[in-house]
Amino acid sequence: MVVGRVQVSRRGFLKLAGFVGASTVMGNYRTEVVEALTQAFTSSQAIILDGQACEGCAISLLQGADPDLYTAVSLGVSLDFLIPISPETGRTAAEKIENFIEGEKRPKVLAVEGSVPMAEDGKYQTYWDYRHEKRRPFKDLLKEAAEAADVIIAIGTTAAYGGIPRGHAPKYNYESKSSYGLEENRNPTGAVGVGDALAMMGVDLSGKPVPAVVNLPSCPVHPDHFFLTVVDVLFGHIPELDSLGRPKAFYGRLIHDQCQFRGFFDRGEFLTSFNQYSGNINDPYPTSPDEKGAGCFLLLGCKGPVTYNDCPSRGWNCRAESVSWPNLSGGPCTGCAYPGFPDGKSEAFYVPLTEEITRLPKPPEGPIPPEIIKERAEELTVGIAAGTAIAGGIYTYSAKKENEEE
Amino acid sequence: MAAKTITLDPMTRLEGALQITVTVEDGRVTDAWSVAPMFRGIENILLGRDPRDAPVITSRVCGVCHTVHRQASTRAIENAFGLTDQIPEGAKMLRNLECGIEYIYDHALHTIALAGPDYSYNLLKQDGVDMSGWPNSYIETVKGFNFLTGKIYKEAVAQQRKLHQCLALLGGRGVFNHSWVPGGVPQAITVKLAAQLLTRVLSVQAWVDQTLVPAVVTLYKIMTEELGAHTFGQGLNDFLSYGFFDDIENPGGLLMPGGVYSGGADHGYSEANVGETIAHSWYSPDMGNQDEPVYIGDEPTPKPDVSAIDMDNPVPQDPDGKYSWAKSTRYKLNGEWLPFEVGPLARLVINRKTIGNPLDLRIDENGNPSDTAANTLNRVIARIQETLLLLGSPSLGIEGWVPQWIMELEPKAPTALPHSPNIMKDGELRGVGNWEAPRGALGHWVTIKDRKIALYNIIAATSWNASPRDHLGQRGPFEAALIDVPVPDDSNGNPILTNIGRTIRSFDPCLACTVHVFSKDNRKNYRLKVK
Repeated sequence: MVVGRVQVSRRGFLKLAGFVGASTVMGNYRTEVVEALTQAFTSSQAIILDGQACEGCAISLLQGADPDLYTAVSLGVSLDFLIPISPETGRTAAEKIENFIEGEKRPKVLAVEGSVPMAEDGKYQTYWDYRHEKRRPFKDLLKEAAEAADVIIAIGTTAAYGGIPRGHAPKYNYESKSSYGLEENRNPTGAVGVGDALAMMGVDLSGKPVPAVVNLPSCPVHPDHFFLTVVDVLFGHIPELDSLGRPKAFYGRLIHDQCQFRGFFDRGEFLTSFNQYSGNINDPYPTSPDEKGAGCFLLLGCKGPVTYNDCPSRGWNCRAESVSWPNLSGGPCTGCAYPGFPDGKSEAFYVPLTEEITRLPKPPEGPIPPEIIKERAEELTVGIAAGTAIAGGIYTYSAKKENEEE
Repeated sequence: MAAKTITLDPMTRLEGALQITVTVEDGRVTDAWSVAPMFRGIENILLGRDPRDAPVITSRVCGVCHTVHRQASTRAIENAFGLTDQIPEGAKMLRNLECGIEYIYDHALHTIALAGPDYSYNLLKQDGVDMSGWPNSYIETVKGFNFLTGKIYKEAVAQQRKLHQCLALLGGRGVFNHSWVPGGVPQAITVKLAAQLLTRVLSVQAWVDQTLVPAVVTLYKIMTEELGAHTFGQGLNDFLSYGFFDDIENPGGLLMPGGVYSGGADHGYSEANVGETIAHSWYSPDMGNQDEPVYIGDEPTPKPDVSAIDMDNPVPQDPDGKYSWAKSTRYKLNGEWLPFEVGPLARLVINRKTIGNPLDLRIDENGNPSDTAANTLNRVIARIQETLLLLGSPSLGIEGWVPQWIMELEPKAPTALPHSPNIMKDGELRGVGNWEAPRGALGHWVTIKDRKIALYNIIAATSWNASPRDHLGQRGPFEAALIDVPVPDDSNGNPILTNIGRTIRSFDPCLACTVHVFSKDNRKNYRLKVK
């Protein structure tokens, strides 16, 4: 299939997304994405399982512009265990997952919403199994489905890394990318992400076409992330993943680096009360605490400087109809796509990231002397940004410098 | 005819995991068990945290009714810090508005996309219902409810998206939006915002007026004439509501106040009478709430006990056995702990004298108009009545609260306290946040010690409705409503279970909210984390 001048079936939607920007792909190539789903589902199977889920991801998937979850279902994604909308109930619903496990159609895509409770042999989530006439832990069902699947996608932070059910666990271990000793953490049910759960149960993913769980963190998942990933893997592309299993096309940049309020940060213009934001990003920084205006949310707790996601450039709830993302509504980013959410650096949502503030160059006090502006302008590596910076009398620092500090 | 035990797991088209087990004898349900099989423990995860984080974390209790959890939690936190009276009007209006928008989306989506397929052409045909004599309007309506392909089904999905866009305009994104912060709402009121909201809300209003209301009127005829949905699902017929929507003109008051309706009489509601027991729940009794329910504000989070789970049977053979992660929520009325039904029907029954009765189609089991009777039909109708009350309907002459609220928004009005988010105070503080979720009464109770959460308790709507039997053996509302539901046999002698699904879904269950408590040893945590 040809999308524009790019051969999508060879490049893949995610590659394309990395190339021209993901929202452009969803915005301009909807027809092709839907067509791809239609073609793919004639010979494949997909199913969504619910672990310790709140159904927020399911509701979020309904908010995709096109395709949405219903389009995908009508094209063949079987959602028999996606409890909110499955048409079947009881035994007939349970049979659908058996068909997934035993069926012949390939590739098989398994998507999971919610974390997996591993403590107490998984008994914090059980279901009645009609085949064995027994109550079984959810983790056993997940294991069976994962062994049968070709591609496994963890939808949302909870499925990817454990999320809120794993709350108050020790810091995420970036080195081992895996589990936290169940004895020592306060995570009540031993909740872990799908990747960790499968590793703990000894499920070997190395022989699969996509040899790792594809993690799509954020709480809830962004519908575009899910549908683009599904389309891509159904076409046989292996998404380019980072060390935390995230597709680079979506999670390659910090929210902070794409934020529309970045200029305010660079000028050191920080809001200090929730009553200050005027609702219009084009307004100037308020000169007194009682006045309304625009500014950076860092001091109100924004976690954009530590969170990798594309919210500012993609937007939520149908970007085509110019709807928002959290910072544009004045409610600072809580770092919900951060792997340790709701702990680690994303903890204490309304407390500033002090460590990060000290790491970044300090904003100057008072008016900026002209020689500093000149000096800074020479350091800038991006020409357009430099022009804007000088025009606005901006104190800023180069992208190059920030990279060195990483 | 011998009694047969039938288990439905998963009960689908609802939020969260639910197992229903019934015994059926002579074509009627004779006993029922409501099982919540999944468990997370949100309250324990909150212990020791910054109290201002509670609204963000508890909104994840449920991805469907997240704004109301955020609202109840914010109220509890602001109540604990003594700020309830200081919250600016602008913030209260935005919060009312956002909750109102959520109820509309939730009610419409539930009625059409979740409960709708129970009344669809495909399902009726599968159940062998003879539709040959039905008028065309009936056939057209039930075809509209067909899963995925029905006309009204598809439209409902598209309409709810507009309402999520409203939530995104107010709080950055539809699901888990950011518009509740400690001390107010961060979004400023602008003319542009009001215009963007109004456009979307009025377009949904037009759809409800022209499509949903006529469909529901036809559905009412089908449910009464053909399916007899007013003759089953009565259940307790006792209702409870905490009340909701801040009355801006009368600070401290609510537009729909709470109350209790029991044994045909009205009573006042006090949060001091809400309690829980774990008599039939998978927790160990060493926390002391095995028998008499314990007041929720003081209740230590009980210790879960996986050894109590019967892995060989859908529900235990022993009548005293434990069978759910949900606890039994009860209200103490005249010295007795009683179960209560909550939800839109409960709210309308309790407020029947002041709110009126738009699109009055509710009837009792004999077919006589009734504004207090409970049954499977009336719960469906009440959900639509409340939608009309909130959204308005030009054809029925109802103005609707939500469009009015949008027009009353005052640009540039303060929406948060000037010192927010620095609202914390020292000492031991307690706060209560009572509100209503789309599916019924929702309460958060918090104790804060030295600026950390020391105790947190949530009772969600479905905690009431899906509750198991209690210490006295009294069934919960789901279980009670299932008694006597007709389960006829099909031509092959297999039971048709559709009426069970219809009755359970008439409550709009949300299990994600229901099971919320866990602690390895809460008291230990209490000591460890909070000096």
